Amino acid sequence: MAEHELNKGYWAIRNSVAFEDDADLHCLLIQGREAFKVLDQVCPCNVFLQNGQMKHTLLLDETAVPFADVYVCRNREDAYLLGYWSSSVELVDWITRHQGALTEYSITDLNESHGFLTLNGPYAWELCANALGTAILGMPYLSVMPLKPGMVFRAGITGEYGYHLMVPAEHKDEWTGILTSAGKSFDLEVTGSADRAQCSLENFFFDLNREGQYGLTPPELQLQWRLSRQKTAYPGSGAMQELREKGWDRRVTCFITKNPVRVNDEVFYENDPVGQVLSAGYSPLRKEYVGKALIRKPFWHAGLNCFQVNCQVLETISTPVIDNRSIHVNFNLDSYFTREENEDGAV
Amino acid sequence: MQTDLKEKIELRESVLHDVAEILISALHLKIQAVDLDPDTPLFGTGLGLDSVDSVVFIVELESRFNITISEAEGRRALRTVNSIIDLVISKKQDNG
Repeated sequence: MAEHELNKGYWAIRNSVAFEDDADLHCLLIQGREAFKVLDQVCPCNVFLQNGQMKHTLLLDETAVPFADVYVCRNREDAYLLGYWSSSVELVDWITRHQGALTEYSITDLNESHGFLTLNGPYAWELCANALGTAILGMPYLSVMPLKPGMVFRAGITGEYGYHLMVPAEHKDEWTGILTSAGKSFDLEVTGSADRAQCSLENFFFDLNREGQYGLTPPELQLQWRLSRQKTAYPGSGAMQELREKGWDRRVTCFITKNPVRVNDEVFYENDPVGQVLSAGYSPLRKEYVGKALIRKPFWHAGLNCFQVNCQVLETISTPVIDNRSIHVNFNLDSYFTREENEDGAV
Repeated sequence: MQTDLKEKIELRESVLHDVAEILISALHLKIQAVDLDPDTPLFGTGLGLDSVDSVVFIVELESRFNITISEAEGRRALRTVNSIIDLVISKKQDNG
């Protein structure tokens, strides 16, 4: 079987558009006069957003280890917490425990009433514009727009154009039909979490289920940009402060290697262990394995090809490890139907 | 540690330091150099730079490192701090 046949979902994310009934995504609606104040209390960054904006951040436990990978979103006076975490019941309980004197807000778990349909790919914008209307074209990255009925979030963790459609559960099948039917002319493929995870790995997005399982802090995960240095009071702020004073001596670094590697394999420089593989997957586009390893200082830099894993060469590399087609697709000039002429768009 | 590896690491650290300085002084980012992780995205998410910032950033990189960056090179490299470091190192090596 040809490689394209084996990895149809992956190639659709990279070259056309992929549809996913996204069961991993969670969403909480926070309403009330103190909705943003309570989010400000628990988030490690500024969350007072303009209408329609989204911000990518983390929620940290008291040891500054992330337990939720979230976007804070604003639609008029409503706040949405969208993202990946293990239990919404536990998250709501955690927010309540950290609310302090703030009580004028309510939280609704939208997964109880809504479904999530995700489109990823360099031409996801074009399919969305066809199926939902051209207003989609005005949505910048990290923005939110009401959909009748539901919401559209422009985000994604694949490095390509990404749209999450949150639709009422009773309309999910209808929307699935609309999108997959409109997607036929865009060579849409139905994909799943494994293809999404591989693309996310190639673009160095944080994955709570991979490197998020090792008790690592934002500096070790290279996620300090999700926090604000100006903000000093939030859950985990004490541990972050201590870490910044003490420093850290290991960092998640992206690597490539020609041979299969397994999670927890040791990384060596000469005969000394310098790190550990945290995640890895075969990249059909690069035709080699891509992964993340926790490498100790001073070996934690990209661009070093002096390491071994299972007696094979492991090279650290700058991210993202691919040149995403979406970066080269300008929706004023390019279309899925002119992609062959768009030479710059070749990945 | 072998000398060539030590030199490579020192070079990357030095370029990272200079890139952080540009981001803080020329682009007025409210961060400290120690907060700048090398795989931080530059645009959209991450540092949240915009198209105006990218012009200023390229000009400052060219001036600081005495290199020339074409539009196509800039477009490919302006992804993360590390991809910029790769470009600067490759340009410096080309310049001898």
